[in-house]
Amino acid sequence: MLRFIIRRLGALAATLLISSFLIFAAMYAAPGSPESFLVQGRTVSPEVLASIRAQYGLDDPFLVRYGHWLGGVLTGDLGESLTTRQDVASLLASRIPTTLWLTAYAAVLIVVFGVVVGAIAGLRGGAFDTAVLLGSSVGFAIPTFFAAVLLMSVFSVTLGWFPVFGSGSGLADRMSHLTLPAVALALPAVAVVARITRTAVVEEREAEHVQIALARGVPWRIVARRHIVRNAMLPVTTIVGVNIAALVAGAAVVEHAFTLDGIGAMLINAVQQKDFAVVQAIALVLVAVFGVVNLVIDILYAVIDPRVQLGGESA
Amino acid sequence: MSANVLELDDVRLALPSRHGDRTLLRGVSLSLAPGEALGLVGESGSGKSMTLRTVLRTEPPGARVTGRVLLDGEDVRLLGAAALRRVRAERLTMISQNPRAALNPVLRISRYLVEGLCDARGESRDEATRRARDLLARVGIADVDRCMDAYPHQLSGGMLQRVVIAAAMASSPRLLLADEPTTALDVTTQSEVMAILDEQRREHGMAMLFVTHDLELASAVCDRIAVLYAGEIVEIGTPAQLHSAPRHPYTRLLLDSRPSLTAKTAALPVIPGRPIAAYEVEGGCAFSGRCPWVAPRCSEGEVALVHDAGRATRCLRADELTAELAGPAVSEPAGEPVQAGETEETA
Repeated sequence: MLRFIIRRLGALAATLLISSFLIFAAMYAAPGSPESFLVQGRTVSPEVLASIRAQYGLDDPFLVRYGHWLGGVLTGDLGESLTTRQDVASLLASRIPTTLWLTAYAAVLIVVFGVVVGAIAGLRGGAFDTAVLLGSSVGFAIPTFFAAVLLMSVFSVTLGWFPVFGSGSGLADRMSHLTLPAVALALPAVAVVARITRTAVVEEREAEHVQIALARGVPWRIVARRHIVRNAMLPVTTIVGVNIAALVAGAAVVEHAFTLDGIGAMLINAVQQKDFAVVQAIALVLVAVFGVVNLVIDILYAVIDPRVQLGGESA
Repeated sequence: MSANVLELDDVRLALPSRHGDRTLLRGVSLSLAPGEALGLVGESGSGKSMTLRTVLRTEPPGARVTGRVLLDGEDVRLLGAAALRRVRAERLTMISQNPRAALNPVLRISRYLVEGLCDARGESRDEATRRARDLLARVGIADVDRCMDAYPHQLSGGMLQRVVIAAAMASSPRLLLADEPTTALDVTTQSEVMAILDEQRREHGMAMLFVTHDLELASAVCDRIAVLYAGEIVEIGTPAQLHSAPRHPYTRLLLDSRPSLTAKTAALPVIPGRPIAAYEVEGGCAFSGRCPWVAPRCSEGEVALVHDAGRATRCLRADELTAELAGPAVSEPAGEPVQAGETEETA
């Protein structure tokens, strides 16, 4: 188990290295130049422009610039924001808690509502099942930004239950501020997860070992929990993992809509302002989150299914 | 008659389909005395497994079943959910074809064994664990600790089927329903598993309904054999009776189509035509389409199962054909020397 985790962390480091190069190259290849943003349309003398380019090392060859940046990243120096002149690492550190809270909240919603509702629909069938199928289609079809606006207009503006913007401080205040954003963020994933869970449960219900457990006189309640839902969790874990990893990326839209000060909103601003250092840092964080979530999912998989052997081929 | 463990009385089963109801069982009646083993033999689709499932009430959803299934005089078809669960936990047990599909792949063997005692029957967990270990030892598992802690994928098919047998014996039920318990195993483990099953069954004094397509295997372990064709019983008798003097043409042809151990033949005799399903029967004898001894009156109306001195036959010409059906193989006219008069009845 430990060896597996160490090996996977090594693979994650390699992934990060490769993606850092791709991210750097992508920003380099993108149209527009950072200095033109810095001068903001003012006419400046070629001397000034040259000094700006020299200050940010923009005239160095690509690989030199990449090596320079990478060296900084490895020592914890993510560079300096082009627009605010602030240290990117401390900028990120101040922004990450909001995004973390938001995605954690949304992840809980996905697990609780997606898995529980899907499992009940699969086990009970009937009208509830039909309602879940319909509801999940609707939930999946609603774009996140539209859900955000809709939720704000109903629960914040009309009913006044939740604040319209800001991320709050302290646990209760945070929860209240983040409820609507988390719901908007989790909605499509809840729909997908509920549907996958339902299908997995329905399929597992038909499994021979389930029928046999019932034929042995094991009570339905226990069969449902121990044999149906537990086994159905195998495919569900994968889907939940992928969706939770994607939340960090999806957070950009929601943070923007609810004006939260997370890294998603920061990413949007940085892209618009061509703030190289910030975009690169956030992109790396996203890759790292994907990697870590996937690692956690793989470990969970081995816990749920004894046939999966970590660090080797499955039996 | 009420002393019988199991009595099936005119059990019929139909499955709804797009083309109307499809009949799978056309009135199966049989009885099983305490400790008796009855084999249900027939080709695929003859309804042998379905008959067994009506006893356990695990027939496919939507199936319409009529007739009575009496377990110790009580009709299991009429039981409510709670009573049915108790009957399944305490008085019936089943061994299915593929032990690998029968066990939850993600739970340990110990969970499977203990759950049958603890969750189904309400025994304490400690007591159930002790019993489970004991049961494993009795079905010939050497390393009980390893087996208890193993997951199904870590054991061989033969080992798994022993585990299933151990679980089936756990509740010392009155009736064991075995649905081709050795078909999915390789030949060498087959006889081993069958021997353990038979030994355990006798030790616990259970009656057994044994479904198989293997007439030889059924003859080896059963007291009586019922031959099914197209959803109804065509003949019931002891293995000796069926072997030496089959009274139904179908039984005779089944016996002929077994490969012989002593004589090598160019081609195995097969029963002409294809087996028909119960819903394809259109009045008259279901086997008349494939029967070499068919007569015009065979297709004229339902043929009744005639009981006679402990055997039963569903054939209009049974009496006239007695000698011929007991004689040498019909499909090999120039084969072995004719041994006439081989009609003695072994009791």
